Amino acid sequence: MSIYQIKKSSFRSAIVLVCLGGFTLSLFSSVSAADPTKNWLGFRGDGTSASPSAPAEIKVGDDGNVAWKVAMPGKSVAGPIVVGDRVISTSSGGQEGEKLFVTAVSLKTGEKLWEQSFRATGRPFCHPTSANAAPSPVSDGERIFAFYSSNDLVCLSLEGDLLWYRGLGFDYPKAGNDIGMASSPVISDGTLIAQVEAQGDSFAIGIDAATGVNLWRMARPRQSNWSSPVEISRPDESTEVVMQSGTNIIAVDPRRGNIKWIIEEGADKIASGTPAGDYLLLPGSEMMALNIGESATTPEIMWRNSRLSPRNASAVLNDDRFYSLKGSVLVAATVEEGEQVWQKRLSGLGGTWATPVAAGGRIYIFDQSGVGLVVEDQGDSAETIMEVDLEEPVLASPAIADGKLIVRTNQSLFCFE
Amino acid sequence: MERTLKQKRCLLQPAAAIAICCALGLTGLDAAENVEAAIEAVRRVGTDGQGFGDALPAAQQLQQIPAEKITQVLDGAKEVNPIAENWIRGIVFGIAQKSGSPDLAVLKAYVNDQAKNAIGRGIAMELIQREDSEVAQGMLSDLMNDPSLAIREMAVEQAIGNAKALAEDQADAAIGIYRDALTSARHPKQLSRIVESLGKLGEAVTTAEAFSLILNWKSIAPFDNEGGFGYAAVYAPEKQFTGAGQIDLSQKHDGKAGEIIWQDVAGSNDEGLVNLADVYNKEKGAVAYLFAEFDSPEQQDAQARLGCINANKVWVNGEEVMATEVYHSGSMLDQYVAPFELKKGKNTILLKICQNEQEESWAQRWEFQFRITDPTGKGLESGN
Repeated sequence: MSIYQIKKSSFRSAIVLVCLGGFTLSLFSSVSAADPTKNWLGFRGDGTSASPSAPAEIKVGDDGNVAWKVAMPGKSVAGPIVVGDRVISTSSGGQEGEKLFVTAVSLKTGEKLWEQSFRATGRPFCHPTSANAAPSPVSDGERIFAFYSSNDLVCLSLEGDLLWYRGLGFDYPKAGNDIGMASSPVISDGTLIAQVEAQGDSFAIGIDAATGVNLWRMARPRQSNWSSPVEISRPDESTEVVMQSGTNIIAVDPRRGNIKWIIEEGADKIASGTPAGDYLLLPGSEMMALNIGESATTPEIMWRNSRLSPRNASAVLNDDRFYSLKGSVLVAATVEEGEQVWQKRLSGLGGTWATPVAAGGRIYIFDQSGVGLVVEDQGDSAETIMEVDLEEPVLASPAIADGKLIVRTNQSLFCFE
Repeated sequence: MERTLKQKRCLLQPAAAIAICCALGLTGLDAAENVEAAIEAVRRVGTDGQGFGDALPAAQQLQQIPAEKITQVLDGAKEVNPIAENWIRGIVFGIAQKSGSPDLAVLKAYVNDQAKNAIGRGIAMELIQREDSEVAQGMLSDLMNDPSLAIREMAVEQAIGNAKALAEDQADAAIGIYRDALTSARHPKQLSRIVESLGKLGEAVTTAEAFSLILNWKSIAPFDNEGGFGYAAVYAPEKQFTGAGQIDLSQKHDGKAGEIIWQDVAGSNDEGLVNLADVYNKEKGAVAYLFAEFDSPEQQDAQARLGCINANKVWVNGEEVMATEVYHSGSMLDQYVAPFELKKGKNTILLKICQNEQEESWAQRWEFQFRITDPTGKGLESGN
């Protein structure tokens, strides 16, 4: 880059700052991402699928506790997120799912606040049970990032204004697969990190959240992979993003994309890793627990247990134990030792894709026909305490915020309180 | 129209124009030329974040302008790439959320003016649908052959709905609407649904016919694809075709397990599906080449459209037009689309369809559907 180019570039940056500074302050609001009880900012919230409190029951009908139900503009298997007083949900519609929607509704009332609509620039095709709106959106508390199977990536303000738009399927046309992509992006250190892994152009990418431009892009194994990246924090407060595939497990510096450590062992290609305090639980043929440890070290493998790996849904954390859904069997185990505590066959539960959520010692599980169970962890055993039928497929992981449970069905958004 | 010097400056330096606006406190982009400069900045976005530095502030500024200026933004959608199209969509809906939609009469006039760009007209039609669905319905009934593919698709969708409502009690009327829609529809899903609906009403229309799928091919197989080697390997038919643009169909070749010859294969009459697994006895780890000729009455822009669950390559007149090394990861009509130019007279097509060695029950298909269309997706027949 010449001096002239540097100056020109700096000048443009200055203009952006001059222009954006005032507008960011005056036009765009943000919420504190610090309070996890009020927000659910991405796929599985903070990655654990856990929140302190949620409704004790989920019941529909006249005597039920549905605060509101809202029809959505299309289909979705993407989990909703909650940013302050807004619930954000993505949908896809049209002939092939090429119409992309981002909808914001009031957490309190269900009133539609705004809706944006775009057209897929990448391949929108997917299996009939899935949708182009498959990856869950994510927020840094200031912006909303909506990602789709077609690898379209939208960045909006909390008010629904367009900030920037990327078409990763347009930029890299051989990326993606026609069964449908589903890996949800994560935000770490001001960077949006997405895994776009399939048989064609397979890569991971770090995009500057503020400007939408690439910070880094790395080749990944050319295999279909639906698992999502996970942020982990070291004791010195540095962060890394862990990406698993059928070939290996790597951690990268979120801002620079350089590999910090690598474990040459394949992990699950559907269920994702779950951060659990000092540990990271990684599903695969065996569930594996990594002790994250000090910065600049490769985490140590603490235990492995083939009986604790989930099938499709990711593991769910609840203090010192976690839950794995293996079809219609729910298993509870300890984080530190990897020892099974109880196992419960869930009668009435069909095929499951949605990662359950947990709060207050209860686990909320939905199957793909819309049947939902509330399972209570009673210490040494578990009991199903409630069953509900939403009568619409649920493949999206629910959200919990401000004590409310938000469930995205195929075509609707439910809020239980 | 000749631009003023000031306007030219704005176009050349959109970021500078926007910065000046900021400095002057013209946050509403009051001056028309400043709106134009901001739109120009957005129009320049491209792949890999190209142009975002200028476009980010421009997009924020534009989302503050009043709704009556939306048509100016819609004009900016002329001949933009799909990324810029989405920026413009987001800005238009951002404005509409804040300031409301422009007057319906203005939007109607915009849609009805076919001199306006197709993308902008399509977005205007969506705004009308959001504002007043009855008005939109009335307009769409006359727009089934609109040059905007987005508007045409909406009109066809409405016609399909109308026909469906009539199907039980007024079958003849429903058939008439479906037949009109079949002529107008360009989206493969809509075509498929119309064919299916006509079939239920006793009308014999096949997918192969509706899509103008190419049914008759010369085929030679199996060449070796064990370990995926064959996808990149250049076997004799491919070497001939990419070298001379021609193939000697009488020539024998060394195949995977001995000498192989070209033979006739045909797609099914209903779906136009060429089932290579049936023809070649479910061979695994194999490459098949397929050859066809296509007569075009004139030189014209066209598209090759392939539906195939196997790794594939397509050449027309010796030139590669598409290549995809993906196995058993979904398939549908028009799955892969690539533009090319048909020459007047005889054109030659070569397909390479590769089967891998996966053993799962869902990985046994070795098949494809292929057609040539005009740039809108209308199927073309050889000789017509």
